[in-house]
Amino acid sequence: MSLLLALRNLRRQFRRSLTALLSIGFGVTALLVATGFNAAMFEEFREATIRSQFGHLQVTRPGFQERGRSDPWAYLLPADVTLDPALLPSGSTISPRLLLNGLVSFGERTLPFMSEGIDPARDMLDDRSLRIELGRRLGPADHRHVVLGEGLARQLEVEPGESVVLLVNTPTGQLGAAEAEVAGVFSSFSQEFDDAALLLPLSLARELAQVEGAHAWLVFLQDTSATASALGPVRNALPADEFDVQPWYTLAEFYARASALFQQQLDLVKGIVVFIILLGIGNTMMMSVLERTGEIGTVMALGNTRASVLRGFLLEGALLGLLGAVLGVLAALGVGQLLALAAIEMPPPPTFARSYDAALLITPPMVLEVLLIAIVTTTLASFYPAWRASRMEIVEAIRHAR
Amino acid sequence: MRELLQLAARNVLRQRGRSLMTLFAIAFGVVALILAGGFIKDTVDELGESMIHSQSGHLQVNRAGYREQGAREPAAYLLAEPEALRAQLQAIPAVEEVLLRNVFTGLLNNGRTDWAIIGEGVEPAAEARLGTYINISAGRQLTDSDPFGMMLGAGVAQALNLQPGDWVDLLTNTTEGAVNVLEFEVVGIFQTFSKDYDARAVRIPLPAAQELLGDPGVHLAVLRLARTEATAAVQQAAQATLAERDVEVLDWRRLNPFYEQTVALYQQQFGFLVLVILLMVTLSVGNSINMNVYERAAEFGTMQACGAPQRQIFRLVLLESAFLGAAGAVLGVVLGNGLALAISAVGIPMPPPPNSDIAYIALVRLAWWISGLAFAVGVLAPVIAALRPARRAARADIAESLRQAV
Repeated sequence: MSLLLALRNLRRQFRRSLTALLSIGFGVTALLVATGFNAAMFEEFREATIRSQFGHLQVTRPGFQERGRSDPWAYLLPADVTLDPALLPSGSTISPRLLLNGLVSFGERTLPFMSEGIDPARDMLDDRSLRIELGRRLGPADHRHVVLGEGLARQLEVEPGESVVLLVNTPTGQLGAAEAEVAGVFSSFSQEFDDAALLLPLSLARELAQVEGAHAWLVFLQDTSATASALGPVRNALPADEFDVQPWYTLAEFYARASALFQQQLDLVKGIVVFIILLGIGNTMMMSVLERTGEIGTVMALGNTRASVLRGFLLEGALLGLLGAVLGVLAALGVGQLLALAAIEMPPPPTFARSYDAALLITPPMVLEVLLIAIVTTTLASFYPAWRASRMEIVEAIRHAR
Repeated sequence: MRELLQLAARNVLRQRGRSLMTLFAIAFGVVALILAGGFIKDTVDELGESMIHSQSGHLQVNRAGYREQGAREPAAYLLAEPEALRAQLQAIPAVEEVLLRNVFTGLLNNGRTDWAIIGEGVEPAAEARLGTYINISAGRQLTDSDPFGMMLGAGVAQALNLQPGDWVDLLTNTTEGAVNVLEFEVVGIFQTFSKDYDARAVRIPLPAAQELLGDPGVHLAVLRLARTEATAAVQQAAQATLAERDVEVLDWRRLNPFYEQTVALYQQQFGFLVLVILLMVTLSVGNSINMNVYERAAEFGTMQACGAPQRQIFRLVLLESAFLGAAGAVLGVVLGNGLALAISAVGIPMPPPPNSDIAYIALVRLAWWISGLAFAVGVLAPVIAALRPARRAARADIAESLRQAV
């Protein structure tokens, strides 16, 4: 009943309600666009980081994450993967990787490289993990093939189809050497990585280093949000004194820091929008109360309590917030559609080697959040005007109407 | 016109309560812009300084083509007569010091494994004067009395598990293509603002690097200037002085693509913020102006009945809004700059940026262009908001408007 009354009051002052709605709606759109834009950017960044570097879960020997790179042969995993795939959600894959550093020669030139031996049948399969710029990616049948980072290939002046020589130190202190054909040239998300990195099949890496095992088993899930629930069973299945299992979010330090920084900036924008809505709506409601002094007096003279007058104005504020927010959400969804159609290329963010398309990722929790923000803000803004209205002297108020 | 101005001012003052609310909304927007803009300026300035004073210097001189081809054939891109070049550069005003470096790639070995590095042969004492933003996390700076001392980036030290006092082998190609190995003692471990740099960087004294490469040449002359603002002028002077030589002079922006990318990102965000604040202030001020005009219909009707043209009503309403905007913007600029100074006096402790381990204290910097932009937004928003109501007031039917007063 009082809801209907509030709605009618809003409709009666259509023009004023409209500007208020527009300003709330715009604020909500701005919030959603900023949040959605960041979310989309970070999702792309996150998936690329997981698929190329960390896997959703990473199984290593304990201590490998801290000291493994300084003494890699002391942290080798068994030759065969002892993790039961049945423990993982369907569609998951387990892929071993072996780290290998050494020298790569082509013609007269010799450069240092860092590499990972991967299983070409399961790892680095699509553009999210590895973008091939020239040639092709590694295939399951490849053995004496490598793909080089863009910067490394440029410095060596080598092209797909030509052969390079790889030199590494084996654990026993001997030199391992092999010739391999360049299958392709890749670019990843990091320039520094591309300047020194190459990828080779696990079989070739094992042959070069004359070892059997791997440094890490990477578990790739279909769905990133299932990471936390998959972590427990894997940890339980592997004895903790022999194996260490880490999810991507403890490994991807840069990602976590960057997203925290952006979150902070978003909170600032949120704060500003909320404050301006507060001032603007407060103003509107105050005027509405002053203008309707006579009406308020009449309503109270008819026996309505002060509390019900207060509630009425608060309800009007909340309704304004709700309607404005719905308007804003619809507008933000529209902007998202437009962006998806326009495919605007954004410049690469710091330390990224490549650009990406602008997009909005708007999720139900985000929508719920802005709805709440809008309603709470407008209700708060109506509080003082509503209180003023409910404290009016009835006789004075009625006299005002004449 | 003067009368109109006076009238507008009086009208604003007449409705003090409502004007105050609007004033606050405008001032708040202006303050928010000044603080956000100043904070971003500080972040960007500080990033630039840290890059200059940890890696790149203000300007670098190298053989033309070195950046593209140098990694392949370092020997072909050595600077001719480095000492003469140094003297020439030193003579340019605002140049504090000229440092010579050579650059090489190699493998560092700790006895168990190798790590690919990018090495620099440097002049230790001069580098210490340039590198004011370098954080020595263990050990000490390289000095001129360490012929075979080495400084490691924190990432290199972690990857190879090295501490000051450890000995390492550094393997490189000589300029003739043979493989050469020298043993070095780690004297210190450093951190810059870039983790990626620290993961590959190694510094050794220039004479040791020349011995390792079997060549007495250098690749880079790095300039340290008295002031960063002088960069463009010195760059031009250097290009003019060195026109005879086959060299290029690059400034620190070109040398640090990360800086340009960061600036672009922040500009994008600041642009979005300006737009949001402009529109939010416009919309929230619009409401009260709308109401104001509506209430004063009788007043405008009277004015028109007394012979004031429509134009004048339109101007009056716009002027009132502009006054309100100017007052709010002045208030905002004063408050904003005052707050910025107060915040800077305390400092904002910031967590380490994403690609670094070093936390820092952020300030809010003042700049004319930021205050100017914020002021413009503050004045513009209410004027834009007043356009439609002003038109409506001017076009209103006189008789109708007058009847409202009864």
